[in-house]
Amino acid sequence: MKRQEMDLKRELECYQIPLPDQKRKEQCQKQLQELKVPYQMTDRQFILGQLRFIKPRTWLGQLLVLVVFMVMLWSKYVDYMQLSLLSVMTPLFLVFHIEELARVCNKSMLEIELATKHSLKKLILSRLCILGITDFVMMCGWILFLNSCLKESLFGILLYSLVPFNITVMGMLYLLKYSGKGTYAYQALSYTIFVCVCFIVIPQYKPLIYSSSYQDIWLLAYVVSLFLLVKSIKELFKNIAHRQDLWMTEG
Amino acid sequence: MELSIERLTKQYGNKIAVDKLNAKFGTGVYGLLGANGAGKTTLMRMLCGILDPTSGEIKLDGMNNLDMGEVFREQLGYLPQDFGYYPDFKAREFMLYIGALKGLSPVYARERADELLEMVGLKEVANKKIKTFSGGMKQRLGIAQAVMNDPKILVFDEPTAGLDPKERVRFRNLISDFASERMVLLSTHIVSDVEYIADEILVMKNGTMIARGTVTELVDTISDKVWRVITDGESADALCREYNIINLRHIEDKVELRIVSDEAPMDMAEHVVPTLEDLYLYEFKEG
Repeated sequence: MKRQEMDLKRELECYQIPLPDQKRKEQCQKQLQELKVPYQMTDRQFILGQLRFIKPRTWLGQLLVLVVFMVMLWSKYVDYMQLSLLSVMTPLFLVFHIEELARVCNKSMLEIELATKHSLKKLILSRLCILGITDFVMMCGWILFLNSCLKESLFGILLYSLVPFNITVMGMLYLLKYSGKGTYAYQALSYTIFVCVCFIVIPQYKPLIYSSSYQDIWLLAYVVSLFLLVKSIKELFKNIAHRQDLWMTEG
Repeated sequence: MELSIERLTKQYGNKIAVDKLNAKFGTGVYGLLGANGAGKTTLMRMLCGILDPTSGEIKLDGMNNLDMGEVFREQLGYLPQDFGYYPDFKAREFMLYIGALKGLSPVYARERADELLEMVGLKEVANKKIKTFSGGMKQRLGIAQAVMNDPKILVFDEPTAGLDPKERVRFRNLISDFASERMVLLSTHIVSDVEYIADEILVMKNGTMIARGTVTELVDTISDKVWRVITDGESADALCREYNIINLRHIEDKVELRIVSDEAPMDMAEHVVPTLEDLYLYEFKEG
């Protein structure tokens, strides 16, 4: 018995394990992929897929604002008023995002969204990315247009457009953190109108704020608003888990 | 597949909504019965990973549901108590949106949405806005979205609230159709919702599980506690004040009472076969 065991052991030690058939392995992996692909989407597909669920009126509204302001700028106002229009345009341009962002506060829908595969964070981030990218594209077109029709430097145009942009987005995200169900849209709209009014009223009293001597202040305002914007995005995501618990408890 | 709940607790301030709950579920239909405020919705939300428990764990095949994250939610279908939707969404658009959130490819989601809308009888109104739907239609759409990803675990929270009897029966049949080879957890305070379709019933009260078993097993626990009494109006009034009355019926000058009580309410009382509704009213008599 012992000898038999010894022989068997020796034979096993000598046995060469055949290498797996690489071709068949690859074929099997390919088949598995094919089985999986029709049913599941990748993260990139998920982000791009959200594009379908943003209402066309959001884009149309933004285009309308751009066209109206382009016409107004074309009709040659006094210089400072022209530049003031740049600062008013961006908050108005963002008004059309309120409806999309307000969806995050829709508690009854939220419950279903939280129980699906993709997390709420990913969903909100996807929406913000899509809205941000389209804003960027439209703003690029807008700035190129301004650069060709205004005497102002590109640097000045960027500052006068981006400072109110940052301030508006920052406020909208800040409100998103604290607003309750149904109140977000009103609060965000009021805030945006307030920002617009500020950029209409301030130049009436201080026409020089759009002069080159004030550009350092604009630059500082840009840096500070950008910092606060990044902070508000970070805080929003940190806050989601807490809000999630709160929203569900309120019910 | 086994879903286990281990010493699950949820506390809101001083109020304990779910208190050290233990349970195990396999494939089949489980009816979670309890009065309003018994902790059913909190339990359902924790099961779906929407609410974090204060303590305790929910495990799927030995793994914590929150740690599993996407992998757990991929196997989940959920219909909340207040089924929400974006008012401007059309039924088909809504299904595609849910398909995207559940990670289904657009082509597959379209096919699946059409298939399910037909199954729940909403194919004709697939391109109509959800806000124009009746309560029953919305609930049917709710079921369709829950099973969009062909989930292994289906959670329905008070799915028949606000439905008329016909819609309720239709809803029950739909759930039965979807239930094969799945784990279905259905919470309700309407006894008839679970009486006919649940393989097992769990009764919840004040955040704890007070009874669990098949309908027959549960009903057997009160087999000697349900009584029928035929008496005159005056005695009936006295009995109504003292006992838990399930049913009261006037027969000519007499009153027939169905009473659930540990002891015979009067000498002439006779035992009757109990139902699940009797058990529910026996357990929730104080409510």
